[in-house]
Amino acid sequence: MTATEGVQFRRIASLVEECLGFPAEQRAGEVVRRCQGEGLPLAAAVDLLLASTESTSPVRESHPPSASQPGANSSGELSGNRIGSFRIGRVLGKGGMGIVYLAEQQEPVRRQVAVKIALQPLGLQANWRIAAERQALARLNHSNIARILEAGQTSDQRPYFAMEYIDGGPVLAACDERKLGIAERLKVFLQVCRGVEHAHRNGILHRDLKPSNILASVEGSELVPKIIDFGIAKGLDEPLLDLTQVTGLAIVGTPSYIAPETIGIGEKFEAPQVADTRSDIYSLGVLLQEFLLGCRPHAQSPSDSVVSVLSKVANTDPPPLIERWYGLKPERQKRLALERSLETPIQLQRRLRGDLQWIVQKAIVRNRDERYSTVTALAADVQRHLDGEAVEAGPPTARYRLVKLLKRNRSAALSAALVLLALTFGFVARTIEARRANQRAAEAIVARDDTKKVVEFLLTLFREAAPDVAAGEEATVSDMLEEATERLGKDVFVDSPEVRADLLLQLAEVHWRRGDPQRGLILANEALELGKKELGENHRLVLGGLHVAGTIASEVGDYERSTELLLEALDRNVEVHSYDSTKVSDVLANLGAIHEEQDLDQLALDYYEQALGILERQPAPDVARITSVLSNLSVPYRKLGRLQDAEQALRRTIEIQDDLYEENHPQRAFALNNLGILLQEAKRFDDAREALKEARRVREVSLGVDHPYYGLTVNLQAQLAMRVGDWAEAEGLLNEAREVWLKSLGPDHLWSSYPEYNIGDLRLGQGDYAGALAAFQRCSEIRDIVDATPRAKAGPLLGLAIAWHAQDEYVKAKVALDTAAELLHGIPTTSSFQLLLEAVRAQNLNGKPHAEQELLLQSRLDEAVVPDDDGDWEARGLAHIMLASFEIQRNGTSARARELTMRGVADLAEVFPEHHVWHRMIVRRAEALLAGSASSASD
Amino acid sequence: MQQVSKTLDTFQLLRQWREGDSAAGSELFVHLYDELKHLAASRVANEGPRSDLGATELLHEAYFRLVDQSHAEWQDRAQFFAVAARVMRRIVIDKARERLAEKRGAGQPLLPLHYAEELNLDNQPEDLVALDRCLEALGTLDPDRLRLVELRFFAGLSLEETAKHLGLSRASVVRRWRVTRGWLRRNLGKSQVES
Repeated sequence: MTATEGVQFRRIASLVEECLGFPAEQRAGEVVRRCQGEGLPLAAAVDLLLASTESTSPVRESHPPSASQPGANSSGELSGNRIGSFRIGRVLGKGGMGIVYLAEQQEPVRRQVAVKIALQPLGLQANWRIAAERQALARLNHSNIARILEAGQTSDQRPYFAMEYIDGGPVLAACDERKLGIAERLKVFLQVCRGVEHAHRNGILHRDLKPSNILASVEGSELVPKIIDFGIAKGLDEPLLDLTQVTGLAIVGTPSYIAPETIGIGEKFEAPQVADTRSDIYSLGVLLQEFLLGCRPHAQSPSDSVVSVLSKVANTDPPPLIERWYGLKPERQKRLALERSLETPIQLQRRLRGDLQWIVQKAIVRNRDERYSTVTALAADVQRHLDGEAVEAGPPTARYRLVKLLKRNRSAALSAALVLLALTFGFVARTIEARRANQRAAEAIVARDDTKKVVEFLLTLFREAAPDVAAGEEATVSDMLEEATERLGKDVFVDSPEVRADLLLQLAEVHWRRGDPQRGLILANEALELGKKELGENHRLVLGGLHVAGTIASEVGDYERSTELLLEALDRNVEVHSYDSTKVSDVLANLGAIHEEQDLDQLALDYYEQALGILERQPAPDVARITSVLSNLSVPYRKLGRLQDAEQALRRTIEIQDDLYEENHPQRAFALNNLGILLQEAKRFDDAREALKEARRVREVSLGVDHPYYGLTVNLQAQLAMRVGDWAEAEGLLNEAREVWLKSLGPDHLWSSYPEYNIGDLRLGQGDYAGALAAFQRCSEIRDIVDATPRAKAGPLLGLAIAWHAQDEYVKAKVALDTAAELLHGIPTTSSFQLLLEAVRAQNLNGKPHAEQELLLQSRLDEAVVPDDDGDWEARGLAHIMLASFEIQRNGTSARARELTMRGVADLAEVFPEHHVWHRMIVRRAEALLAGSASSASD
Repeated sequence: MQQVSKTLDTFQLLRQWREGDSAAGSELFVHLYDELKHLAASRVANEGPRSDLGATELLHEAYFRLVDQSHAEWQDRAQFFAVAARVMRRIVIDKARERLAEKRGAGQPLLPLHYAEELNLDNQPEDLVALDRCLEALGTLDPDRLRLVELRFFAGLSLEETAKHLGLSRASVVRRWRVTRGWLRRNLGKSQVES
């Protein structure tokens, strides 16, 4: 910017400010008066800036000539004068920099004509051009073009044109008034095409085709469109519209109808292309869309500036016709259908789908090489449609659509959309409570409104992509996913591995988050392989692929592979981003999580602490991430028995969150839930109850009682109630949790199996083994249906085994336990499970123990018994009870059996306090054993 | 303790700056940047990005915290707001740039921009960065108009307050605002294309 420019700018701005002091209708005159002798650039600049101050309609558009237009004030002096052979009458309209008058021609015939006179004299160059074109214009003789009768200059050097006077309004309004159907409209449109075709043959472009330049002449009962202002844009408006001084653009035409290539402000700063016939075809395409749909391809608001409309036209692909249709308000859709003599919007929608949509698309595609090359071709295709023949324009290929989808949503939007989508519908089927306190899930909840929009958008798109799925019904999210996955399975994007890898990865994540980790893993591995091969080892998609694949691998229980992938991700991320980056800390946090899941708690702790260190060293620490790691950190602490450290981590999390979030922020509930679990473990039941109560309150306020997360807290409360022996309350809470999840997630969801499992436990404690069996079976069924993780599947089997065993159904107990053992093969399990497994295996089919197995069990028991209080009480207790049962079976209720039983009960009382359901069950079992009823029931 | 020294600083810096000490000006800028950013972050965290509590309240709060009221003069206040508005602009734009750089990252919500709807701005980072570029251009063409925009958008001052701060009549501020807004609106479309 130079100093002169500043001076010039301030001058223009203050001129505009002065003009603003006048009433609106006088302002144009004021601009002309003030800029007299200053040259057109200044006047044009002032005019444009003035127009931009109007908040209603800064988009400059000439008004269609209409009888109701009041006379122009500033140039009204012409009325009654003579120009050429015309007597000037009233003003028909004002447009751009010219005024249109109704005039009367006396010679050679007496008739009414329209005369358009420029406001300003033109430069010499423009005049020459007009002279050159006058002859060409005179050659135009077509029933759909308003004839140019004469062109010349007024006595004060202003150019004028006289043309055939059309006594009718704009063609679109006429179509609406007459409620013309789609076919009739197409016939009118075809006539417009014929007119343009004729002009093109004569070497003349219209350059400003738009509805207001097409008037409806009524001949008999027929509606005949007449194109006006042919070629005039070039002669009359161009110099006055030279915006170069203000915007660096030279534009002829009306923003919404102008062909993108002639704008020249595209992404790559291409120079504007010279308009050719294909530019007129673009305008015809826009016009066709308005004939059909009543709105232009690009949505715009009245307050959009010229430049913003232009940049939209130049830089974005017009959305498909049908997408615009979906975007309209229902009232508008209804009205449009009525104006087309259709009864329901659906009828119109069906009519627009297919041929017509493709024809419009082919006419207005941004790259002009892809358009119809001639008006004749466009008209022929419309005709083919009318005749019921196959049109030349076809549906874009799937590949084309996906590319479009990607292009339009390049930055973050697509992945966010898909992930949000997954979270909204699938929710995260993960371990019972926020081990990886799911940041994104919480954000999804907060951004639920945005999600809706995204989902609607995607649904529209996919409805389009799979028309057979649509047909009146809603395409489901699963349909969309299947569709997307299937398409990616084919050889699409082979030439753009980056896009393919990116999409594969995103779909992998979606499948995983929707509870299908197996499929997610396959896709993630594919993305990873492709990325490594085509994009280089350190490409961001390879790093992302390692991370995602590693995370999913742990979900399917392949910890070895998971660790391997994540460690590689760690190395590469350190290499690419340096150690101190949140990318590295994310991977570390995940490594922590998978090690914790394998009960490698010390390692998990190391990883989490490293992650935390990195996050805390960031110049602008991401507190949300920090709280997430802190919250997870509490889990290995808890499992290592470092309850104080665990509590401290959680308290710190909560403290930070109290600063970060308002009281009822959903994120707070994650940490409160974890605190509840922890305090329960520490046997501080009252504190645990308080924490869960607060968590429940937060979730109730922020998410509502129908939200799945609300169910999680209720379920935890139930577990606490069971722990302290408050069975009636536990049962009530479990039923509540079950209701929440049935309503929000349906019966076939992992979470819906949680209450069943707990009810099973509860029934065991109550001694209701049949009830326990039923509950564990329901739980097991759900987990089979959702194909839960092996560990999750093994849980209810264990419960079943205990219930069968308690009923002395050793065969069934053994089958259940063997199945569980098979599932858990290679997965670290608790020692109590191992003991239980071996104990049951040690029993032969009619309940008699094998001596060999018994010895093994005894040796395991010795291992489990450690001198200090940190021994595995549960395992020890179970083993004691088992041994007692063997002893009873062999020798009856001996003193040794009694002692073993008492020991077992005492051991288990360390883990399960007096009121705990399990405690009750064990005592009951022990009593039964000692009463000698066990062996008698064995057959 | 902290509080006292802060108010003293601000007060003195303002005075020194008014007396022509440009180093004091930039020090003031940095000082305010930290303070306002902190205030803004806690605001956004507490109220959420769509909160009605916007820049104005923020600046008032900062003003009362940072400027010793018993010694402050009218000019202090006017100058404080002029500087603070510019600081707010930096904060908002920095945030927007950060967001753009992060790409997939969630990041913190942006501050609400006052009167942004008048420019059809969406409070999206891209929009804000484009706006900043336009303002840069406006500043070279007409610094007075830039101040006007900053006071309106980033300090959230009403037309009356703005008029008072700029020492103009309300009517001329209205006209000036309309024209400047029109210019911005048009050029925004253009600079977004360039970005």
